[in-house]
Amino acid sequence: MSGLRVLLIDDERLARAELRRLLAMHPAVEVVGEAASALEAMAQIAALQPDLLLLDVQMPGGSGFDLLAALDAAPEVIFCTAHDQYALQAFEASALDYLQKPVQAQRLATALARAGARLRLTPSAPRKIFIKDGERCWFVALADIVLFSSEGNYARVHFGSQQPLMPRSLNQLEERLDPAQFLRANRRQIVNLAHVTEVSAKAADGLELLLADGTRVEVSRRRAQQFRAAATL
Amino acid sequence: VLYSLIQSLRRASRFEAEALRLQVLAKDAELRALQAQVNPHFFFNSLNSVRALVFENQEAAANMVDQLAALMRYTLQSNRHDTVPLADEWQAVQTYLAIEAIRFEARLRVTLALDTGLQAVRIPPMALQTLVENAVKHGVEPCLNGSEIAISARRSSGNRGGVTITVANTGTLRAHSGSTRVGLDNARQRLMLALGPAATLSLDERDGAVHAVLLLPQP
Repeated sequence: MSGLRVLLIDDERLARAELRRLLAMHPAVEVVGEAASALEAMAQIAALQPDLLLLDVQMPGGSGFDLLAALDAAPEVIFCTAHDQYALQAFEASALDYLQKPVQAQRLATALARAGARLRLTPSAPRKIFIKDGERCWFVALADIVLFSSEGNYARVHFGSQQPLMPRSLNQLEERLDPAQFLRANRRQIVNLAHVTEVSAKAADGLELLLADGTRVEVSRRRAQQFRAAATL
Repeated sequence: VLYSLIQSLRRASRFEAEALRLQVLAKDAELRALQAQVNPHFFFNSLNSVRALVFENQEAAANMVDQLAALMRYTLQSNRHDTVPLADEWQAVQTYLAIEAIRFEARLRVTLALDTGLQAVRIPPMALQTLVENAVKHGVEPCLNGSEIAISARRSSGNRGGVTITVANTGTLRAHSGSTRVGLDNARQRLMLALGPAATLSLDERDGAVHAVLLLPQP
């Protein structure tokens, strides 16, 4: 599984700094953003699609519970609060864990392990994926996706005549996609092998793939070796 | 007949004495039960802040530990007295606000005004502190931009004398719902038990601010 992408939601800057410091001890965890209110968190969740929220309860403008109620599909949640009286409500809201401030490193580690386990249980290569780019949404079958190409921290998804952006790096996608179906051809592209119509040899042991839509994709030498190994009987 | 009458009178006065003794005990227990504590969540949040501060600014972290210690000592010792000098309570409130300022940063803005000559006025311990905590809880915490908190102690005008202590925060009374009433009712009862019925505590809203007003009678 790829790294755990975490969003920190707490109205206190020092509380966020402290969570960041504690999370730095976990190399598999990537803090993708911070939000100081439920409203900020809504925007960040839509834009960054984190795997996990570390969520305070009492915040200005709306509580952590208000935030969860407003989300269509919530990421996994670990509550972090100085209060103990919300624990029951938190588990009713399907929270993974409930940490009391000051958050202890050992307890956080346990909660993160729990999050990792639950996220691994969800299928790592879903048959259809949900993409939201600006106001538009798609729910597209992986089989229809021809190519993923990287644009900074985003990936452009090529299918039919559409090319929306999704907030995932190619490394993250590669970890999630079935390697028997998708090939990381080079640093900037992942190809759906089902859409490859021609393969030709190139200089320096590289390969070139011709896709059904006419796109040509270069496969680096290292990746070509992997491809040969995987695609040979 | 006379004998039985005397007996029953004796019994009645014994009952009366017993009832009186129980009343005193009850008042004592009541006062103890009402004794205010700084909200425990405040300490947990502060410990969380100070641990973060250790890695960011050691000088500030050390300073914050001193302030936490001073406030804890004050709250523990204050429970031994019915009243304390206003100067002591004022000092504790300033310490409390300094700690909350680390947590809330720019969201907490405070002005303090203590008239000269009021330092020795007696006040139930934690009476002002409770009001300031309420102002932080209902003015600063729920608001992204925080709140001004204005605290003043003035000699009351008019011939009745006494002292008026006001704590104001931006916001509405509607936001002060539910749980705070308990804290406020407790503060009000402690005030009455310690200083008599002339001491009052009221809450009102005007010009977009909530004012908690404590009236201490002339001793």
